[in-house]
Amino acid sequence: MGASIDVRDLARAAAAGDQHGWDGLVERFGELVWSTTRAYGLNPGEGANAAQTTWLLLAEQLGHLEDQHERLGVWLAATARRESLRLLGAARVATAAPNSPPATEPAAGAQGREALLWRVVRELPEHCRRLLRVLLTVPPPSHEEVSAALDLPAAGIAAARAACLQDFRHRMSNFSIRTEPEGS
Amino acid sequence: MQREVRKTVSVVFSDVAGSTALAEQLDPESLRRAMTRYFEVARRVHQRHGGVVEKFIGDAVMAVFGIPHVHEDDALRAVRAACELREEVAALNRELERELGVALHVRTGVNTGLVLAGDEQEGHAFVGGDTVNVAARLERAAGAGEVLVGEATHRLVADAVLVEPVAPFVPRGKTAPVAAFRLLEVAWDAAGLARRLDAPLVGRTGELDALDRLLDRAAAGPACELVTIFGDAGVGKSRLLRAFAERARERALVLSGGCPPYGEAVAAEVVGQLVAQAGRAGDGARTLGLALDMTDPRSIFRGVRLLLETLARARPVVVLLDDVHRAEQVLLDLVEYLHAFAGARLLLVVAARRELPGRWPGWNVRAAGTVLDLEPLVEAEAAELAAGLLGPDRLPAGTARQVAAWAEGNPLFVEQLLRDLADREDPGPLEPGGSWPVPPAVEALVAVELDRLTADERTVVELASVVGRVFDWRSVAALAPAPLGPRVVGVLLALTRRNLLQVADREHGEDAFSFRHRLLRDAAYQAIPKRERAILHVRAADHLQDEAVDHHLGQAYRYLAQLAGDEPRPAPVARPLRPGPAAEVTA
Repeated sequence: MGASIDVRDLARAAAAGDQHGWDGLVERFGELVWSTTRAYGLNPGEGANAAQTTWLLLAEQLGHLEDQHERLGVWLAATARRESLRLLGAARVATAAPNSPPATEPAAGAQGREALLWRVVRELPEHCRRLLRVLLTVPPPSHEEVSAALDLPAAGIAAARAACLQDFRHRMSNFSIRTEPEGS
Repeated sequence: MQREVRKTVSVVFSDVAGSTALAEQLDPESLRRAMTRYFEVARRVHQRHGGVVEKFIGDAVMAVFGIPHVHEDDALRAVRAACELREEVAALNRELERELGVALHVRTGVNTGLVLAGDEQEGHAFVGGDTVNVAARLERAAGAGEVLVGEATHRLVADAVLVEPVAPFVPRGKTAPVAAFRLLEVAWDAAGLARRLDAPLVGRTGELDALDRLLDRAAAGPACELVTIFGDAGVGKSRLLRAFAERARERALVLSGGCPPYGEAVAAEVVGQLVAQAGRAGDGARTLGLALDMTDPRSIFRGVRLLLETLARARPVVVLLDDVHRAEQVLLDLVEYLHAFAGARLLLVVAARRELPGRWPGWNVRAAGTVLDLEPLVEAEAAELAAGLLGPDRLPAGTARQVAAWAEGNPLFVEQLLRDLADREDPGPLEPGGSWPVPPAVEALVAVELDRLTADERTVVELASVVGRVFDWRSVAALAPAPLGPRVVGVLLALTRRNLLQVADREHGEDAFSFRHRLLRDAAYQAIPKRERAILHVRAADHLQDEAVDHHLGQAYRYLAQLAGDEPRPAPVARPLRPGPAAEVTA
């Protein structure tokens, strides 16, 4: 639907100092930048820092990025990844759990089905959680953008997505929570 | 099937200030009696406006507007009730002062927001969460005798209230401040948000011509004519009536009545409006407005008929009745009676939402006379309407077209979206956007349509919403719990008769339905708790064969991840210095 043309227009307007153009870019890519920082397991505070730095860098450099306007999402995703990694520090990268599974167990009172559902998400392999976190962003990012966010070859993303979703589906059925709804 | 739903309600939270001091002043028995009388007053006031007193907490009263059923004007009802409670407590205080030498000082907070409402059959217990907390916080921030209204409520009642802003405050456990308003007055006859009935009429020439011809026919006799205009909320029924009234006045006496959203004796009020207008129009009418006891049709039906026939001798008479879906049966009986017995030169025009025949099963198509179905505007007309409302300076053609597409031709939705956008954005042309938030008034209208469904209908609609705006009924049947499966198509057809759903174009498949409006589908979907949404998506993936499978699995994962603690994106990033040559430093 001509998304790249929209982005070019927004970028040109933003570079010319038009606030609406800037807001349009934030609306279009805000979730992508945020989910990239989250995919690397930054906590919400760190994630907000990394995202903010990413946008500041864009504001500084937008005027010099004319050749990149069409691929601004890729630039933003790559920058968000770099900023996330910088914040994490190389040492933590190796061990960090992507998408930082919450430290707490489900809220008191959540048991049975709830807890099982929650485990399905928590126990999905790290690379899947990371991939799905970025892939399922709204609006959906392009494979190039996902590739830039996660430093993966773009060609393998569709297959990886399908494999992760099947893994998720398999786990859902293993917990037999997909049968009939409760009570009915 | 789960029957918890996410819905928007309005909460009125009232407490008695200084009740400890009161306890020291009064004998416990006297105090108890005074409080009991206060609770009775509160319960009565809330009930009168359709609220449910959910609980008494110590001396506090919490009333909820929107359970068990939502109304499109719940926020206004809540504000009216809060205001009336204040007045009634003042009256109660005069008695208490006389009898006990004390007065109750009541503080009130009103807030509107999303709650997870429980099963109505189980006493509609509900988890209040944030919405209730903020209402309680507003109550504590209010002074004695004051009503503080939260921002979300204010947005829904802005045209009916006089308020003054108070300093925003930060509720406990929150970071963002909440705006609040001190309620000064409520206009009792105003809508929460005024309609722009002054907007130029767009389209509808066919309908106006049809009404003209009916007036010709009525004027020529031999008998009276009845026409019923059916249309969805906001599609332009009132606007059409108004346009027709302007035209018809050249050759007829026009009387118009409208049914108020709620209250007792709606029919008597409507007849009262007609009689009062007739009284201003002719001598013969003055005698009738005496006792309008609509509980006894004998006393009124014949009188109204004779009155209209008398007036019709001088010139044709047009009677316009708006919002008749809200009326009691007796008003419909009156219309039917007039249609059957009244003489020539009388045209009755009734406007109602499509739910009318469903609400009054006896009132069928025959009783409706000639039927005019008011369809949504086509996109170009809706864009013209949008441009007319805001002017081309503020609404460039591209944005007007987007607004029209978003509203899918519903003039009220156009109006509300523009109002929202114009309030939010800086003055200047409105840029094309895309993902506009649904205006709260539109959200309320859509919620009412869904809220009126039976449990089975609701289940089917929710399952359909998981499949999509357009869906094959067999997919929905496959998702439905076993006992419902075979009945799914029947339920869908019944919903189609009520125009909540439509039969989709053949290009979408042979057996496809679609939601009448995208917002109906979205609202049905969003009312499903996220956990259930996730499970339904996984089940949909099991039943579907095509590329939709990955979509459903992805959605299911997304909702579970959100429930498992994935943080939503914080408030939009701070605006950096404006880039580019025209840079202008703003703090």
